[in-house]
Amino acid sequence: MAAILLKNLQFKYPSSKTWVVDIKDWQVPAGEMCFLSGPSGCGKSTLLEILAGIQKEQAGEVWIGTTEMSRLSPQERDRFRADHLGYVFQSFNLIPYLNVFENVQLALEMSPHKKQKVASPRAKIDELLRSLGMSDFRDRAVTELSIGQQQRVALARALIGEPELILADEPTSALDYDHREKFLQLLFQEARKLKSTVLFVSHDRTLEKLFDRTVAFSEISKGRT
Amino acid sequence: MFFLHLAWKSLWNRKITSLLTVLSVALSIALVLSVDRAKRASEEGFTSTISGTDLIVGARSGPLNLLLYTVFNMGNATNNISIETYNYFKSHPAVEWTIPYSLGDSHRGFRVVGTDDSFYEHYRFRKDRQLEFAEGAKAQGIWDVVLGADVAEKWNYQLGQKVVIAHGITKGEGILFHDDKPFRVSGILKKTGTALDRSLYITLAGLEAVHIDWSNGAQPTRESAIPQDQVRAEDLKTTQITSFFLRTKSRIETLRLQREINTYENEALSAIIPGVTLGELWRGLEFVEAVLIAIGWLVIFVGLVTLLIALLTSLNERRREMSILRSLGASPMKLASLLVAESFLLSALGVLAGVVSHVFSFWLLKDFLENQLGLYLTGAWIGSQGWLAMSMTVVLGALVGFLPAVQAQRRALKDGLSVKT
Repeated sequence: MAAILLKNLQFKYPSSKTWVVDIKDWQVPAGEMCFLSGPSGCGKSTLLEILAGIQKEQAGEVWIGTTEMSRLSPQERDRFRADHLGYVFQSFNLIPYLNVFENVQLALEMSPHKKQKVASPRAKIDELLRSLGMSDFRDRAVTELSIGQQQRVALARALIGEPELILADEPTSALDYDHREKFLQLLFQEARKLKSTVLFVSHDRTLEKLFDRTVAFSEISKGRT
Repeated sequence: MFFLHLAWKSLWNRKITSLLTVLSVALSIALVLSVDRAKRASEEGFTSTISGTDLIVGARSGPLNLLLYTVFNMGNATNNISIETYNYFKSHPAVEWTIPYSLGDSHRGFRVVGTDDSFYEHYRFRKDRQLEFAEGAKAQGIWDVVLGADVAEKWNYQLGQKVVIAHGITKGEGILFHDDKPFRVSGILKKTGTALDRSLYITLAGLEAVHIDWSNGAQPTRESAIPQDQVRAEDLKTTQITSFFLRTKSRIETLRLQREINTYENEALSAIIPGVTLGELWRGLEFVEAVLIAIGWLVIFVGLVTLLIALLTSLNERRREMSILRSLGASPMKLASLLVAESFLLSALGVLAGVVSHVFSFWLLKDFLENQLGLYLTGAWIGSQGWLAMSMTVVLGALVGFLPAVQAQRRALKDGLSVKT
């Protein structure tokens, strides 16, 4: 079964003349660690927003697992994102006024479905922070953390509640090389535990060897690039 | 519940702005509550200057005039009442008691009232408070004078001190003095917070005594003057008084008696029911009240605008935060409700702080207000105006949050997950 299935997907912003994303047929098998590469501004972040249900395509089908996103209402897509996805940004992933623990907890509070999956939320968050090497920082203000530590907290938040799909938008670009590799290893290790699919978007092709498969955005999308 | 927690944390993160916003709402609420309270207290003080008296009787005049010169030391009587008329009503079967109340002289800006023992015994104010002495006792001898609290305080008079009264009612120092016949302070009244504090009280005989050698309102010549030590009580006959207070045996008789007095054939009299006339007078002052309330609402409006400004300015620096919440599945609607919740929290905290500071400051100022200004803080801490202002502020405060909320919502849809700056 495919974790992501796209058919005749076309998307553009109201202001753009050409399609930003134009994908005829593409899929990511469940459980795969997929690297999607492409230069900045090529439309790969937009694709992630479509997959997350934040942007709505003009045409085509978007399937996440067995759900057809394109048929959902905006509210249902928000709900679906909260319940089934994990999302990691490039940087500034954390709410500055919540501590490390609360930032992770946020994902469970936003989704009754995720919360229900986790038998004991507090213990689960602590366990996750421990396996990411962040248990010493549990009650710290996130503003006191280094970028690398912040990204690990963001990872914990994306992983909590066992989402089927984890979308990562250049999460390592603010890290130095050693930390990038360490970060990816942690991501893979936890995602495999959960049998989650990972779609990782980056312009930095030095990382691609670590993934199951690498795809260039320009290969799948006939958009403006 | 978690969202309120989130809103709270977010506000706490912006402590100083939040605090100042709460403060501005608190100040406006405290102002409205205090104005309302002071208004109710002054109305209370005003209307409770006299109580227990069913009718005030004087020579025929308008009811307001009669009320003003008897109870509030303002204006003058047009005419006097003969003592025969007074005695007639004093022994009238429907009357329980009367208090004679004669005016005409003054002392350094304060009025001198000629009365008798019944004044100390029967006069009531603020429901059933009786006159009490801070020092000394009531005026009994011809040359005794009792001072209202303000009089004693202003001129720092002590018991036993000699006081000269002036002829006629003047604002400041008199022109014609009864300086040949000084009075001796026999007592000083406790503060009442009413006009009673601003008068001097002598006996009816005393009032006659200073005028014994006067004829037709003219000062005695050196030859006709009678020295103070030769004035004897037997020679003093009160022939007229200015007005009197009256209590009926049964309240039902008040109206009938009022009509009887107003139509009394031997003399033209006016009788008023003090409560009714006080009410009329207070209603005449209602526009002041309206102005105060309007100012209060304007201040609340300013407080809410401050709240709005604080939220709107915070929006820009919180775009990233909104994107994160969005990525976690928060709908634009939910982001909007977060801002409404913050706005609600700020205004609710503001109202709470306003109430606390209102209660606390009045508690601190209670003695000062009662003793210095005669504002007796009876009744509820918060009146209906106050409750209205408080609930309106909380409701409007939450509504004000809708404006930044709508903006955040619109921006969230436009921004998606990446903040385009």
